[in-house]
Amino acid sequence: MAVNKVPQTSKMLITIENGVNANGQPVQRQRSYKNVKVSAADADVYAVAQGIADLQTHAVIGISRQDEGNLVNA
Amino acid sequence: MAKTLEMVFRSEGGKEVTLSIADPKENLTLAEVTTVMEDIIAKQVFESKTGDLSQIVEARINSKDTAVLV
Repeated sequence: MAVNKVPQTSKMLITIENGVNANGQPVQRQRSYKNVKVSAADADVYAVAQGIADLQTHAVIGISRQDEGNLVNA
Repeated sequence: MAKTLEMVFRSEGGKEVTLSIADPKENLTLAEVTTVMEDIIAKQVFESKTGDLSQIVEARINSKDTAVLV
């Protein structure tokens, strides 16, 4: 049995620090940008995310990419 | 006051596609925003239903003022 993964969607996630909570702990929030091309190179997604992150005020904790694919039994 | 930076592109299909960024930096210059927009077009990272993003239409900052009454 061979199962193939067929890429469907991809999105870019930018994790930022958004203030502190009542206990003084930093609060993390994720900003997501969907409609990323499945075929886009990781380096390009990273560069664009970095560019977007530079335009906003919050400190950036991390940049990630989330791919989703269907599993098909071939 | 909540602010949002909206970057408006035109896709190959002729439709406008908007990318919104919450909490933009104060005093963003047109050059800074244009650089990022040009980069987005050059790298073709995003897809839209009407084709690739091909042109910059405009960049604007939207401010939303909410007053709590109760």
